[in-house]
Amino acid sequence: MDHENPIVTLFGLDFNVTNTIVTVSACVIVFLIAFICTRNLQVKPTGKQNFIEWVVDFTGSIASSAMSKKQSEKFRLLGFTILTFVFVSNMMGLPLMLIIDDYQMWKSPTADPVITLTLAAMVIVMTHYFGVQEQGVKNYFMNSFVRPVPFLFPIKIFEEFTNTLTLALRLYGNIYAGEILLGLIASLAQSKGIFTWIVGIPLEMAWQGFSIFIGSIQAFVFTTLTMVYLSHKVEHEESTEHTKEAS
Amino acid sequence: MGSPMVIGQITAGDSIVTLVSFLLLMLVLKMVAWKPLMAMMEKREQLIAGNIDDAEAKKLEAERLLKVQQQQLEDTRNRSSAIIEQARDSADKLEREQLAAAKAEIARLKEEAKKAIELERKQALASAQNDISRLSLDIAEKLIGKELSNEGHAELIEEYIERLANSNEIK
Repeated sequence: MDHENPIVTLFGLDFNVTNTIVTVSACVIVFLIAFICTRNLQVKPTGKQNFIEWVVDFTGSIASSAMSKKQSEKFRLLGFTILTFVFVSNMMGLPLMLIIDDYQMWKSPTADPVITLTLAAMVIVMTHYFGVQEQGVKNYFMNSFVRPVPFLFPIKIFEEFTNTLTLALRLYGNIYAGEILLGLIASLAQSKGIFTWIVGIPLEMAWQGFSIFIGSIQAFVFTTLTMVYLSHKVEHEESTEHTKEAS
Repeated sequence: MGSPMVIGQITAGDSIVTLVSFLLLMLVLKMVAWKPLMAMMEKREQLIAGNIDDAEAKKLEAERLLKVQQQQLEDTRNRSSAIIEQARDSADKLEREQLAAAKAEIARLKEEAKKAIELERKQALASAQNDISRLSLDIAEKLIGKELSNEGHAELIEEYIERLANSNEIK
């Protein structure tokens, strides 16, 4: 929105206070959910344990659908953290938007491009790291950039950056657009007193419902693409060539 | 704080905050939630696998026991029918033996009775002979006594006694 963000400069770096607050809040919320759900673990699960195990199985299935079962074991925690963090982040901006002294203090962290770009860059760097770890430097380089045909080398280098950008901006765009529309509907509802409230509240509710849907889908897409990019780097030659040819 | 923000301004610090908080979150989740959850799921998997194995073993054992029981039942049935057969045989044999013994006994008794009767008859006959001879002697005596008084009949008496003696000898 057109509200300003409070910015603090430390050690020559700019910190957006709102982003810091909401990011840490998202982490705390995810942590609390996971913490509460994993108390009193039992072999025969009930209630909250069923829920967290469902989420774990869900991320596990995302991971194992992108790569072999054995390799997916390693990335299940990453997938779980990404899914829950992005999902909670997407939901945070829906119920309220806090504006203090013209500074916007509460929103979805994923409605900020810096945060989504950071996440996407982190994911892409991780894919390279695990690619080297799994295959060794030479095989990793050959499989990632040279095979199956060497003349695609520049395009493959370029692809790494476009992957980062698309991964980040898809998420950012969806959530940011949702929040803008929520803000617009809210200001519409407030514009002409009681009559616009009657129109505005159902609209707002409908759009919030839709945003929940969008937020869930985007969290799922982000996790899935993370796993797909990882699989491109960690899978060995045959399957890598196969997927490259298929795409 | 409070410098006017241009849309799209890069706040590089946010990257660091996001990165650090995300990685920290992942680390904390791993320690607090992930490991116990995975351990529990592993444990459950093993438990279920153990239960399945156990059930299979029990099923095999039950089948084996069933076979053994059937075998034993069959054996028992065979043995019992053999016992019944044997009992019937021995009962038949006993019956036959007793029948034979009874028959023999009857025959023996019959024989004895026959012998006794014969003996009785002989004795009766002997005593009757005695009686007859005595009687005839008496009669003869009486006859002789009466006749003896009459002379001239001596030859007749002689003849009589002779004939009587002869008839006694013949018997």
